[in-house]
Amino acid sequence: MKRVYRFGGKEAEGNGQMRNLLGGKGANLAEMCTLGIPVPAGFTITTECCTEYYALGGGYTEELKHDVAEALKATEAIMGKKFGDPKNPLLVSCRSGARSSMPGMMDTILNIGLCSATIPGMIEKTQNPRFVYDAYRRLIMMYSDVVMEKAEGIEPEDGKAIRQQLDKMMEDLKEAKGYKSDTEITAEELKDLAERFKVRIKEVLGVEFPDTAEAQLWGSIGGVFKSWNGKRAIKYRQIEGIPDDWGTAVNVQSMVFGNMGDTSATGVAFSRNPANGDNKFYGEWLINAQGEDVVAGIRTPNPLNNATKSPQNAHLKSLEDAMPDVYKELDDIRMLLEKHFNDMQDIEFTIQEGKLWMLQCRIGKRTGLAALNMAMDMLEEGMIDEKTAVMRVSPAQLDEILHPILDPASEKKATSVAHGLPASPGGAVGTIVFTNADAVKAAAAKKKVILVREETSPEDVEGMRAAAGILTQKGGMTSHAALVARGWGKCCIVGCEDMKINLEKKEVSFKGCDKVFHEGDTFSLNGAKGAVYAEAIETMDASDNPRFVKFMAIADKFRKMGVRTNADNPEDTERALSFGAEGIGLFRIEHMFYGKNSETPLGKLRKMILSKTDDERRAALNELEPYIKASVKGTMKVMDGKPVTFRLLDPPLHEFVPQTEDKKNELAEELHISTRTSPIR
Amino acid sequence: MISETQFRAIFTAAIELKKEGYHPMPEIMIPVTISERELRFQKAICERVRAEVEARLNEHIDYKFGTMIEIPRAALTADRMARTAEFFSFGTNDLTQMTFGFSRDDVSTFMGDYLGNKILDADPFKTLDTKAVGKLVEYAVKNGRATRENLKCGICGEHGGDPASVKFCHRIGLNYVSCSPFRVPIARLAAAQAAIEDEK
Repeated sequence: MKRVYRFGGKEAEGNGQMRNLLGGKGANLAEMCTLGIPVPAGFTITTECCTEYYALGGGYTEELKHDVAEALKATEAIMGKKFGDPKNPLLVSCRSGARSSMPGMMDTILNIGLCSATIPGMIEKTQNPRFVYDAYRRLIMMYSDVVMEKAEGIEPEDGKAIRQQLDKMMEDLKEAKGYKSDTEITAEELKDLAERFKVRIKEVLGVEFPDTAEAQLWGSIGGVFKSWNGKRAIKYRQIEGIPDDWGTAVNVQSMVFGNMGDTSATGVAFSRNPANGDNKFYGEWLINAQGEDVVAGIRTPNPLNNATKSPQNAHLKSLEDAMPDVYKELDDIRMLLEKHFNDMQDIEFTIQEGKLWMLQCRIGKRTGLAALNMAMDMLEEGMIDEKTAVMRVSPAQLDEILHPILDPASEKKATSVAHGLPASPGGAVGTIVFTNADAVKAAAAKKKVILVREETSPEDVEGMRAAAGILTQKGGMTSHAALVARGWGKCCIVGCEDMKINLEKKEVSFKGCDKVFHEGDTFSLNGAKGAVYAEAIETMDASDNPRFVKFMAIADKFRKMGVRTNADNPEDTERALSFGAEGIGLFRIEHMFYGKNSETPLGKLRKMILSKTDDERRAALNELEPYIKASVKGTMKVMDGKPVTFRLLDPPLHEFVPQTEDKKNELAEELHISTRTSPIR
Repeated sequence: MISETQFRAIFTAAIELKKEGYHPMPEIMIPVTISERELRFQKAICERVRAEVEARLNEHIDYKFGTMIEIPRAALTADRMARTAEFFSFGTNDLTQMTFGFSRDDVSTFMGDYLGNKILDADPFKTLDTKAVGKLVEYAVKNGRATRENLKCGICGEHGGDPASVKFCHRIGLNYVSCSPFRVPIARLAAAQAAIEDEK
């Protein structure tokens, strides 16, 4: 059994077909290498090793230890650095990678290999102590969170998680010094902060932060394996229907840095717009930052190019303008990847001192509308054939396209209280809640809610699932909330920076609006525009899209089975015909006795049921017959030339009459008939 | 007597439409049947009423006579049911209810426990349980068609709009699925994808 697959230097032992073994991320890293795309060298530990790890009760085989050591040597040779070396240290990242992507569910640890033995060497080499200590404090924050707390199954109280405690220490420092941004913190302050972090970790978790590169690496590998069976990963698998026994691969990769000054940057991009499918390169980037800064939504990211600027980020410089050569190279890679994979790609990149590195590519998640538009565009571009186009839109995404949007006429009359980034389209109307638990609770009570959060984390997935719409104060188009909501086709607005939340009081207010809103107030969201309304707006469905009609016609070419509808009146029948129904498979005759205009036939039905003699019954039935005929005829007329299956009266007849003897007699008197004493069928 | 009134209403409506220049295609379906004898009993009434209406209105009407298959006994005696029934429509809601012994009215109170403890992978009222309920459907289709080669088979439960269930229906050779109007495009796409996946 081959446990470790190497990649780097435009060569790779694996390839894009090996998803089951290398995970999606590992397989695509290998594929990118063989395409000649610049990828930092590293290696992938197979999903089989994850299974093996659990079979051993949480341990590693000697073979794995040996193979990792060998692969690390190969990586060191390509990068010209040595892991744990005091003079010229190699730093690595450790990332999970399951067969299908699970955004935010599994964890990443960056800057592994920074320890008291290597820090001086790094400073000597980079001549940038601030950079080194910043990288170190990030390692401590991620490692203590993922490896020392989550992977150990420790469940701290709300607000007491180690990551939150460390975040708080850093916020306190910034506040004390009057800093607005993380980048203002000095090297000395970061060095001191890192030391205090380690003391706090020892206090809270009772274990020392590991101080050798080797211990950090194996701790991280184990942390990734363990996170496969973490609570939130299990929850996500349940929602997405991913089997528990797939396991995750581990990708160990040389670090490249987007935070080495103003010629360095990091970003996330999609080869086409994931919200609406537009064939424009779309993404976000941050200068002098590490990858997590973009995704975590701590700073509002810059737009990738000028063509895709939005009102929220128009004032920020695009990569196209800031680094035109790098942008050109990235745009070429985008086209190469899309052509190679024949599908929209979601990519992560880092620019280290002007040099572009690709860290990840994968098939991008998209909204239903984007899936439809991309399938039709790629078909027209000749990139895919009709069958592939049909397979590109999942039935659930189609459902989403048919989902309501805010009625434009009704929306026009309303005034928005704020605007955010349009992360996932559709319309949502509901009462506001501020916590994951409240959203779940309200949904269980069949209430429609809008989940309002500063930003979302993987812990919020249940509440996000339960909510009709999601609104966050922070975060960009690639933040956790945006990614997850798009995956589910849920209306979502992120980065609504004019919003201020008071979580304790469960209140929210908006800049330029005097009113304070409380839990239970009704909001409406337009996910396509990013508009937030503090009032109820009517909704309508979005099925009149000509592309939708065309797409369905292509799908019908391949379909062999008929599709009929369940309908019992002309209106439903007409709607079903417009959706392509080929007949009625179920016309429930009893439905004419429910709902509007049912009083007269229902009275006659009751008369029939309660009548005592056969003659009385026959008379009642004769009175009923024209009503049944009219109902049947109206629908059959609309379904002209197509079959209509009539199901004779079905539910127990007693459902149509009052239950007590008194009421029955009352009704009988009203109807001028005598009552039966025994039930009839 | 109650059936008779309904038969008469349907045939009269159909003949009237035909005279008005429309092309009605009525299919009459008997619910909650338990045996072929019951079907024969209803079919005799239906045929008598049709003859009466045709004579009165002096016009012929074609129709199909079939049954719901929603009681396990009916599914298990499909070969006999198909002697009288020209089509089967599987009422998979009731079939699920009776196969599991769950009452649909209070299933919501305990379904969470079945799912949470992984006793069931999915709510069988949402996604057709292929292991048992699906097996009954498959068995009834096979045996029904052994009696009547061109027996039309479809389903009309909530499952008709569930993509996974639609794909199963395609695999076992149903002629159609029937679902609520808003689910029709979803069923069309799921059926198309099932056919494409078949070719691979």
